Amino acid sequence: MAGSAPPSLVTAWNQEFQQTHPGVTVHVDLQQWTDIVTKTDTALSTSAPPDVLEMGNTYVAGFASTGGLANLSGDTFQNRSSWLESLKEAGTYNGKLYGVPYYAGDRIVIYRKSMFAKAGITTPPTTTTQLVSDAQALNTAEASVSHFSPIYVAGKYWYGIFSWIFDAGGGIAQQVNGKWQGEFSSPADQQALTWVHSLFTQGLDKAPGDADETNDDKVFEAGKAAMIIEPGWDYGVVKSDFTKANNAAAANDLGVFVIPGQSGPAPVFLGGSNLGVASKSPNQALATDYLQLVSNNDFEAQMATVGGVIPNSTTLLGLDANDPVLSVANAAAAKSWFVPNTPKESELESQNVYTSMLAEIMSGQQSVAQATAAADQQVATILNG
Amino acid sequence: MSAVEGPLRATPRRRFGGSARHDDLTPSGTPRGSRRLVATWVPYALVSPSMLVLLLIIGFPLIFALVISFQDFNAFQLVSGGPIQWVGFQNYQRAISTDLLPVLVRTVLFTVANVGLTMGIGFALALLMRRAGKWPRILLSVSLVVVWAIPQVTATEIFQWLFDYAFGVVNWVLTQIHLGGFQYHDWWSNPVSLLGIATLIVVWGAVPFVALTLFAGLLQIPDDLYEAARVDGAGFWSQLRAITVPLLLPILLLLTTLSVLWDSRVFTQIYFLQQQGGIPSDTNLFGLWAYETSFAGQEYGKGAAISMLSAAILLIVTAVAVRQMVKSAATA
Repeated sequence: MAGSAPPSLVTAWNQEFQQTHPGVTVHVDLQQWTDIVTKTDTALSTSAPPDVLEMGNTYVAGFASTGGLANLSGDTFQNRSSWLESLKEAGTYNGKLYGVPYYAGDRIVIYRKSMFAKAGITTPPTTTTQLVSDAQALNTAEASVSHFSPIYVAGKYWYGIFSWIFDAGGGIAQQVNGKWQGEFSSPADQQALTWVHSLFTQGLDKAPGDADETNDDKVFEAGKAAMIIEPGWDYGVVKSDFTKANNAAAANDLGVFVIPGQSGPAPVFLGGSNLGVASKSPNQALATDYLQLVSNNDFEAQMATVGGVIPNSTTLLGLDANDPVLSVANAAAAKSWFVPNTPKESELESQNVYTSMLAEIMSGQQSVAQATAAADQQVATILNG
Repeated sequence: MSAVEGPLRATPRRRFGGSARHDDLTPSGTPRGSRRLVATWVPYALVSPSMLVLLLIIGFPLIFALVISFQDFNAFQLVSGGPIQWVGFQNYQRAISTDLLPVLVRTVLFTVANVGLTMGIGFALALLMRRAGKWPRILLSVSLVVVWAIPQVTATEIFQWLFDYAFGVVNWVLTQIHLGGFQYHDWWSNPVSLLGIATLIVVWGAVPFVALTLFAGLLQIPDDLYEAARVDGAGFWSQLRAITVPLLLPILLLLTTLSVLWDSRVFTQIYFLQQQGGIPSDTNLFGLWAYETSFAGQEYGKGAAISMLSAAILLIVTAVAVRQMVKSAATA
């Protein structure tokens, strides 16, 4: 996927693979995340699918349920015993392994240190109450900047916003007597969503309530926001954007902290990717060899040090101890949330259930009660369908 | 261009036209029988390659879609190839009971607005070109062709930037001329405003074809008709009513029919604007609804049923229009 592994690393493992497998040429097709479920389904249904594919960890169960992925349960992978629990779970469907853990990443808050200093904030907020008062202080300090947004989180950014739902003790959906039920209209969820909406109505978050997070980091880079919620690896992206723009001051002005909850850190979404083999691939053995190589200690360590992501094994987490960003990301990952574990979940994403609900609320088109009731109905229809 | 021949027939030149008459002039000695035979199969032979291609690239998917609209066909069937379960009209029932009415109403309103604006503006520009001097006319036609040459995706991208929340020039201009607080106005959150901008893009892209075609039609109307009308004291509106519109009627009907077909199937512009913001299900037309159901919801059977329903509705609408067109061409 675009933005997953650094190109230099891809070249390195392809070279090694071609050396150990003479006569084999590895061809890598880089894909964008947009419409990826449709693209992957289509690719898996053809008679000449890609041999190896990367999948977002929330999608593996869905692809496995269509019969498009090969069962990898019997294969040997280095670090298999120490794989990150959440990635291993994401790659498992009906007790069989379909996706080898590739890398993980969680959401952190990136902020501008100088703006915090100007507003008289000495330490980053650790609770939502502090977050609100800091945001108010930032609004006052930056009053001269037109349309300044202390925190800039677009309304549809569910990977970020749902952290507060889980922090309040709520969730997305749960199984009751074998039937899925949406949890959005639960008191905990409604309370969390009402609080997030209040950030918008108080002018502490001036992002569009109905947009997705695509522009969040651009607004931040333009100096119009003091805080954004991003995947850990985006810190490097923002930093290098500033460096490229010859803005060393801004590049050195970045800091990170864990998303604050009501009392202490909020659970974060542990995103990431798994690698799988297409069941219709004629080169099953080669494909498995390739996965063994890519997911081994050596390359996973480089994914962490060069790529800036969380590697697939708990034994490699220590690599980041001295890294100011990854150490925060690793600390955040200690408390994480994940989507409902059912193959139908990817339909909730692709049918915009989460984002539409959030957009209705954050842009003020519907009340929290209305939007969450409608979303719960869709959750039940889709997950039990 | 058969439609353009309509007004042509109104001119005195028609007496010399009509290829059918040539047969009457054929000397009686020619072996007419064999020529007839050749004449019957040659046209079929000539169109058969293109028909075959059409059948393969349009006919096959159409039939396949019709078949799966009666099946429980989702991602599993797509990837694994089976098992197939026939469900009768269940997909149709589910489509009708869910979003059919709002999508239908939205599609009809969108189509009426787009076709009305396209035809109105296109007709006005054609009249303007007819009356304008040489250079303004050339300038106008070049601009129209340039607009027409811009791909839909590019055009949508441009408009999307114009209306951007933070960096868009429209918000800036509206604020500068004090039309209200448009700074950071979000154009996508309201379905009517999103579809309004989609209308702007669609009409902008569709006007050139209509304007240039109508202009070509206008050139076929002889000046003497207008001269005679002027002598009789007819003003601009009377001339329009009595000469221009009746003589252009076949072209107007054809263009309207085509526009109805095109505008009710608008996909690209709305699809890309939906990525900017708003709630997709509030701005879906038929095509987008079918796409979302099939590819995002992975319910290919229900998606196919929606496509079939929309095709049926379009067929009924256009059948009426085509009949009307044929009738008016016959009486012209």
